[in-house]
Amino acid sequence: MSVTLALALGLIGSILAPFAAARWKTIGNALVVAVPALLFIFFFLQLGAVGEAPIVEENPWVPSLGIALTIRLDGFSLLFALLISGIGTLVALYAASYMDEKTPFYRAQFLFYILLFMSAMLATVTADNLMALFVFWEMTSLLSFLLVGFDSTKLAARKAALQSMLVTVGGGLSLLAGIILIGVTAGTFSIGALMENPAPLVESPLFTAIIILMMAGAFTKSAQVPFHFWLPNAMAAPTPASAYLHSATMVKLGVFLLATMAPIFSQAAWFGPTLVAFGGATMLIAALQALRSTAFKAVLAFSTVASLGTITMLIGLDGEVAAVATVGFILAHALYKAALFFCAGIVIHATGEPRLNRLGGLASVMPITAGATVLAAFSAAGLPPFVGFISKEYLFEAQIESTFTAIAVLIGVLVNTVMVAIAVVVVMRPFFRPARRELHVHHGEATGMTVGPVALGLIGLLFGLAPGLVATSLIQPAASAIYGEPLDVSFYLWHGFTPMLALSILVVALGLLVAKYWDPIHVALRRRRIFDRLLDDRGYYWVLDNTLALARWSTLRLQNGDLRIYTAVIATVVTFFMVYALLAGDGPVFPSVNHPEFNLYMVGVVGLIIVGCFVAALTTSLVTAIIGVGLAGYGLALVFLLNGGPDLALTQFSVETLFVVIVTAVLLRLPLMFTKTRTPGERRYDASLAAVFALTIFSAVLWVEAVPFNPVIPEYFAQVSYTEAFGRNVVNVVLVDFRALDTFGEIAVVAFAALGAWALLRRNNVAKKKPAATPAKEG
Amino acid sequence: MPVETTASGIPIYAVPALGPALPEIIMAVGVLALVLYGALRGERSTGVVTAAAIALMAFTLGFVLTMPAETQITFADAFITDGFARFMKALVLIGAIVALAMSREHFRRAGIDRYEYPLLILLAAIGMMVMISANDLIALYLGLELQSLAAYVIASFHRDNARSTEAGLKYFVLGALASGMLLYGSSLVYGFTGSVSFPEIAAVLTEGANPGVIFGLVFIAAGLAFKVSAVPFHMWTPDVYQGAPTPVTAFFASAPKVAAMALAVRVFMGAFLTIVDQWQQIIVFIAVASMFLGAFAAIGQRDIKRLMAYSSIANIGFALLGLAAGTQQGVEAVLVYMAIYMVMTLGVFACILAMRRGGVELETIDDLAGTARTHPGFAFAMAMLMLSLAGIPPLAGFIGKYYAFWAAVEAGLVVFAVLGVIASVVGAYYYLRIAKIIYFDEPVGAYEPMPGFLRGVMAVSAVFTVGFWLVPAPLVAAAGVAARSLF
Repeated sequence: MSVTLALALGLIGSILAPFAAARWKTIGNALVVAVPALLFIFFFLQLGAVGEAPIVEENPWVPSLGIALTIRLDGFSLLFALLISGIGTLVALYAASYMDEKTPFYRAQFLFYILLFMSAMLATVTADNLMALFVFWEMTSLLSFLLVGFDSTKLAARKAALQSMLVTVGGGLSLLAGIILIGVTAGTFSIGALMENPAPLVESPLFTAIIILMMAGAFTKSAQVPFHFWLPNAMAAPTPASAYLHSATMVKLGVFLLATMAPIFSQAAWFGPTLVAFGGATMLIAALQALRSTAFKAVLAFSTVASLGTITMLIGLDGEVAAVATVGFILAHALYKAALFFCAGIVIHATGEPRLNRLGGLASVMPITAGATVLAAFSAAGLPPFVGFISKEYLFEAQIESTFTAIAVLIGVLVNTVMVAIAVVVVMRPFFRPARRELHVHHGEATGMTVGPVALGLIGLLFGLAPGLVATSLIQPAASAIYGEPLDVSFYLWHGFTPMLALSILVVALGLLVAKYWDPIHVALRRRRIFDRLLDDRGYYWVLDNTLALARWSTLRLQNGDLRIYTAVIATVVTFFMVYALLAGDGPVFPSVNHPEFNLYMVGVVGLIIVGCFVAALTTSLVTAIIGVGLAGYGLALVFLLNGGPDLALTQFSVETLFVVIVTAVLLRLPLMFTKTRTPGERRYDASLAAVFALTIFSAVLWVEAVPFNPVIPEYFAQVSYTEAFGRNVVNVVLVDFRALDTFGEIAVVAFAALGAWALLRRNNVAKKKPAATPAKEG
Repeated sequence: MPVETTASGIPIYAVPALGPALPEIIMAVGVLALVLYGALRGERSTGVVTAAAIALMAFTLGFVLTMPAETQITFADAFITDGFARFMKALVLIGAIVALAMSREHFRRAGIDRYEYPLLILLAAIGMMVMISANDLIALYLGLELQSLAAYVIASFHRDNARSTEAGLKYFVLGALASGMLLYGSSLVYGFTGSVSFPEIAAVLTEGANPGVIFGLVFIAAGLAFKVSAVPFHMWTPDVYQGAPTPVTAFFASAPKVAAMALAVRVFMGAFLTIVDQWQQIIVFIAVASMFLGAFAAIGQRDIKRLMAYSSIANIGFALLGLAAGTQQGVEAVLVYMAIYMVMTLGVFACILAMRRGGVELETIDDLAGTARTHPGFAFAMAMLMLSLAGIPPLAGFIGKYYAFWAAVEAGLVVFAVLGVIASVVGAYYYLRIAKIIYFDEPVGAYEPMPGFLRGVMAVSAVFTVGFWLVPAPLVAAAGVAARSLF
């Protein structure tokens, strides 16, 4: 069976199974678990093939455009596919039980989102085409939105849903910009093709921009500084979703992308150091915030952020070991963190108490959960013989071998100390210490919910004891894929007495110390309000609030329903464009013009126009204004008359007369005096705008005058007006001969206008209407 | 212009070929017949006239689709039909048919179902078809004014409603201003190139443009920008969208936008393609300003019709970015974008028209609260359409945006494409918020049952939006053929 077919069947199953679950509980739940389980088995069977060479399947999508939906399953994406489907199986099992008391519709809806999310994730990690990858990437963001806000009666959940969506979708668009640039520079969207021939991309001047844009997208998804704030807030989601999306799978997409592209991107020298810097900063901030957190899930969320920072740093480190460490850490982290979330979910579900310091003494009530937590926490703390220990050894080795030795190791030690402390606290506090106040436990453990964490904990132990199970089958292909060339991987438990072991021991010792003094440290750090100001999502809200304020301001100012402002804006912009055209053009701004002979009567006519305009602009009476405009129009008609266009002048005269008569007649029904509608300031603005507009037109006309008109038209008419129409006055000929029908139409229009005016002015035809109510204003 | 003459020297003018303009002629004859029928029968004829108008447009649509694809020119080069015209006319007719069909029920309830409305829509449709087929400046102006005059009237179709009349008046005043500028610009271009015909203008301009032409171009661009409601000539849009009766707004938001965009393509690609570097800056400015203003201003809106107005402004900005590319690919992007945009818009308006409770039209986005629980199908469609407008992949709106960005980047407008991406991030906020309101807020109450036709439009639009990425080939291929006919 091809991977494509498996994915398609998986999608169909993901859609159908929840509907079954809504109707028949037992069968439906089994189906919901079966879908991811079968996918897991399928991907498990691919291990052998992928170990030799990546599986590539090309499916035509838009053949006319040469776009194919290619599936590419290499070692690294297979690791992700196994984690997604494997943990997905456990999450489905867990969720069915977690949502047991809810209505069937509610439960089915949740399972629907979860399975759909799984399909989208699988498609993202197997897509070869970057555009397809982006599409699925954004689908996971959408589904994350729906899952975070699933408990829609809570304000916090709704806010967090929107926040996570805005951050990840916004970052996704940045990713899109990067992908488009890749397509433009390299001429392909295929990751495989890029790997084979990265030269056009690397040599492009846009390479830096591409990396930055893709990095921004990856950082938002993987909650790296400065976008780290959304992930802890997203813990408002139901716990199965937190375990799945916000710890094991979705948030790793960012680092997945970075790691996949790393063989190409690392050809930019600054790529690695930048990742180390951001990863390191994220680790430190997340560790600090974890120490300050009170809620069970928040502590886990911050430790997840720190782990994501660790992976980012590892991708940035150079060397073969870093590749192995990246893969090992992703595997180990997914196993133990999902398990810890499962356990947290069981505890919170049973007690209804989300705060860590209120919990206690639960080991006797929930022995299996306590055991699973211990297993997972051991791996999280990096104790032998768990897989977490191996991954931490590799982490330290990668840091030591890299070029950033000191600073990387320092950050690694500090953050891992906190990790150890967290591991201790999440085991001791809820399970083995007595509760401070009496804790009401609603119910015990449900089998469906404990299977997941126990299984994951045992797998962590198994992989630790027998790392050979995964070393060559899983770790090696994955590490080779992100390293860019085949690696010979050694992944084993005991490395001997190395510096890494010493560091591990140091970290565990320090971690135990921090765990012992957790409360004082927690209280002291919590009191420092400065961290709130620096580290939480204030920046997000600042951007959001200011954007909203800007939006409100712009609509209130510009779109207030006032026609005056609208026309002013249009006039301003047109003026601006004209000035721009004048200044940007080739010619001088004020060319010298050969003015025609100076006629005294023209001065008189122009004076008439000017007087008319001023009257119209300055008067407070509407009728006077109309007469002023009419005066200007008559002046223009005189200009035509005096320049050899008597017929044009006649038309203009009749139009002007009609205009004045009709409009005056209409105005007579209105109050004759303006009430002042403009403030002095507005009047001044309008006046200066009009002046600038006029000036621009003036210089434009001068300028246009200096450029010869196209001679084709006058020549043509001069030539043919006598030969074809037997008239000497060209304008006359054009009007009554060449364009006779147009002239006829004009006359008809004037006549119709007169008719309309007559109809309008008949007294008895005026409908009795109520006066218009208040005009529309911006709300 | 050599003219054949008779022996006695009287020139002979051949009767222009009418074939290429047959769709317009059919429509024009049809509308005249319907005017007579309506005038004689009076108000009782509304139902018949509406049905006949829809049938007439549907027939014309079929006719347009079966017309041969090759380019034909008639009326002394003033009128052109080609693959582009066919594509755009089909879109416009579909938009007009759906908008008209959605209006009947609404107008009846508001007590303003008059037979003039379908007639005005028909007239506007003829105007739009002429715009699309315009091959010279005169035809451009004819079509534009025929469409605009009808539009001014239907904007104030609800005569007793202060907002509706105000909308009509504002639209008219600003529209007249824009028409004046367009005309002024046209006369400048005519004066300096010696021709009104687009191909001839293009031929003259191969030697470069003199300042007079560029001035004329500025004015023409301003006039066209008004018609597509691009910033800074967008001011009428929110007021008119909000004030006009909702079915009228649905019409304004769909077909005329497509037609105006087609006209812009005709003018810039047909007549001024050779001086692309002269107008590219203007269009890019307008495009970027539209994207940003549309995105920012939408945030402050509570009224869903105003919101759609800003959405249309932003969307036009993206389409203009494709136009600014000045390439065949850019035109293809514009075509794909406008087609997708129109389908989404009609779907959204079908949803808006269905928002009624107790006989009252609901117009604010808070009225959408919690519809996921009361009307799951409606909520899903609306949410998908909103997300698509926001450009969230893999919905259709994203694919349209993608094409526009792609064309812009290929044409070297990388910075502006990135600006476009940023603008769509801002815009996404608001649409996502609506999705949040639909899915997560407390329901206010159920709506009245949705009329069947609206339900159909909504469903088709939502299915198109959600499923487009699976089978984009037909539309994209058709747009490719249409775009090729221009080059």
